[in-house]
Amino acid sequence: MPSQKRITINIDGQQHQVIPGATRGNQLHTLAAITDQDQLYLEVPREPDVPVAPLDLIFLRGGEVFSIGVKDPAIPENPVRRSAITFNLNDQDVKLQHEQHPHAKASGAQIKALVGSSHLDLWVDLEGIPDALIDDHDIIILQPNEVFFTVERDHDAGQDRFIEVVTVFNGEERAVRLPMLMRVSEAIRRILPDEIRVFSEYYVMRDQNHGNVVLNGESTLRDAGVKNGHVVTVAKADPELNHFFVNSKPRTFKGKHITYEELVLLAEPGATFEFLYTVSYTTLSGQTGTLAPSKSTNVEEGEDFRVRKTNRS
Amino acid sequence: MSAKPTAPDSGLQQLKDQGLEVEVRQQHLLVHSVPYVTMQRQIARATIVCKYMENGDSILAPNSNSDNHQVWWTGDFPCRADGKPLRELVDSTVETPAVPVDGCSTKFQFSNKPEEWMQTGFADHFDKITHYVMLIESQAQAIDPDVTAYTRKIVESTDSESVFRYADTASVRSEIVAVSNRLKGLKVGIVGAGGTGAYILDQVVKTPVAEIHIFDGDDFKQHNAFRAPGAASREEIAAHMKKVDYFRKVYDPMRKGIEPHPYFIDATNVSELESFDFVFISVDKGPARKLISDYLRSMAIPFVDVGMDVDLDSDTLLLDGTCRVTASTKSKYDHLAACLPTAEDDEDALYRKNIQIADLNALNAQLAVIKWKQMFGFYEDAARAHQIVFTVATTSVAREERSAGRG
Repeated sequence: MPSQKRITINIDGQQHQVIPGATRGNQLHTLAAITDQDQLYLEVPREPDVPVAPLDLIFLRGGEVFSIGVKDPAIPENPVRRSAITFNLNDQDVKLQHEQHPHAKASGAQIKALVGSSHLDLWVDLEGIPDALIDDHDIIILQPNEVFFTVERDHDAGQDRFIEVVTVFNGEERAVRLPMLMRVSEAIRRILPDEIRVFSEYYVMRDQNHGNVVLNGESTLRDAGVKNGHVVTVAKADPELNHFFVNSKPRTFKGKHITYEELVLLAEPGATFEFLYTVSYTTLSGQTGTLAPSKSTNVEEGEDFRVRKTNRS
Repeated sequence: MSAKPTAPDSGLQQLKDQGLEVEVRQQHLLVHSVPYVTMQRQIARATIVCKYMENGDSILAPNSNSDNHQVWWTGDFPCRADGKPLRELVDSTVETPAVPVDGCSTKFQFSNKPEEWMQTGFADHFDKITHYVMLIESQAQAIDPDVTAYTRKIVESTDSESVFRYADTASVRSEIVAVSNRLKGLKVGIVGAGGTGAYILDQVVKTPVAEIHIFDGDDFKQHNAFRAPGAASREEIAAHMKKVDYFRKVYDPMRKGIEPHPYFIDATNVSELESFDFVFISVDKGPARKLISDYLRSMAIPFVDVGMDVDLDSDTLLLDGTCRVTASTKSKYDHLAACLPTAEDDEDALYRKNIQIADLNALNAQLAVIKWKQMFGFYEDAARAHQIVFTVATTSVAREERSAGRG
């Protein structure tokens, strides 16, 4: 299993190394060794500080700053924010306006109601660490730019709602918590790095515990037979097909090398080649270069090609 | 003798009157023929060099923020009459070679202040220079009482007349005068005074090149003001000047040697570029780019061609920009056909409608100017790239078409 990542948070001037992700207020209370007379606050720039109650849920990503103050009943448990907070739900940016929900904390049920998904399960997407399922009664201290997603709810209440698996992509292993009723195709999309998620339809998932057969993208992880502890691999469906961008549009190409002419045609399907284009590229790892007519270059997954006229001054 | 005014001189005239061999060159003061004792207890002569910076109508005093009490020394380490190093000048006798002034190499830098100046520093150059001269020559005089730095010999100034109407104190402050002078005396052409050409000019005028010739037949119009450095007044726009005349007017207060040519370069006049040391090609038209680049190549004149593009993505409505810089040198030009867009292009360019992209014009210009400075040894050029492409969307710079050696 991959080793556990740690992040740094600051409580009352002290640095603490902690496991990132969904954390209860009382875990932080223990860490800070505070008494009943003390109150722990999350410091928020340009906003009122937010009292952290024992059962509150906060998603730690590193860099959070907490302070310890005296418990004062006059301070509201859930302060009113000065400005709207934004988060992302199912890949859409949501700006939480004051009239909708002015408070710094919200329950799982409130978040779902705000976006009309009351019947679904709510999850928080934690980059690089296992995602977390949020219960309706959980009180969340909202930090800017949280990422949530929803998944069909299982009506069989007796069953677990998620599975814990190890994903393998590009030889890299990662421990991941996935909703059981998430479709395989959606799970693939979530496992791919941001830069190439747009190409997820060209990727397949295989379950090493099921003889590495390709899982049906339309079925749920549960129906596909993925279980706790399984190792699932995400890879290109066609290893020879490359996926990249030409002038910021997703394009595919079969073969290891691509020529200036092929790139010009991908950018301008009717190009006559009378005009000389400036073709340049940047790979995901930051390699750069240019391509002259009749020359070719290796294609890397997610590479950014630009085919431009550079004749203006 | 140089005809420089002697009034606000921070002790210069006093030094001359006392008979020291004083010369002012490139914002530095040189005092020649200062006698000193060598390790072999021989008497030799060398030169003291220190900063001598103009600031408006006056000279910055040695105790001002931008100057100090230090001097450079061209000779061997000065010794006492007994041949032991005069360590009061500087703690270490290890050579620290420098070229503070073009054609003047120094071996040591001294740092000594008399007790009474410890708090205040030297108030003028007379106090500073006479202090060092006394320290050094008194040891020589212990061997030969008649030897002196005060020879009363008058030094002819070799400082040729500057192109600047006021001195380049920025280079002196950063002690890169000798480096700046690698660009001195050049005859540079800028063909095309559009958005990019104007920003190229804005940089080249601040270097000590001898002549800057700008070629462009267009008038300076209101929309040009939004893609030009500085801020044109309503009156200047209403004057309907040629672009080249407008820019000459803008930069003339700073320097001499800007020559406007209010016409386009074509086959009938391209030979006007014959005597240039370097040319920036910043034109819009492919055929003009071809004519000029072919001519310069045939004459083995190094040049940089610039070109850019701004594209609006029809789906995302986001802009992307590309800036290209293509260099041609004596050692590498085989890439030109594959890098220069020389065909006619009638497509209406987005950038013509958009005034918000002067930053990309400026960046394209700066990349070109940096390349030029690399080609003339001002900047280091480890990559020796002859094709440089900047892409806004990925914030990346591609460097390609590298030459085998320096060219």
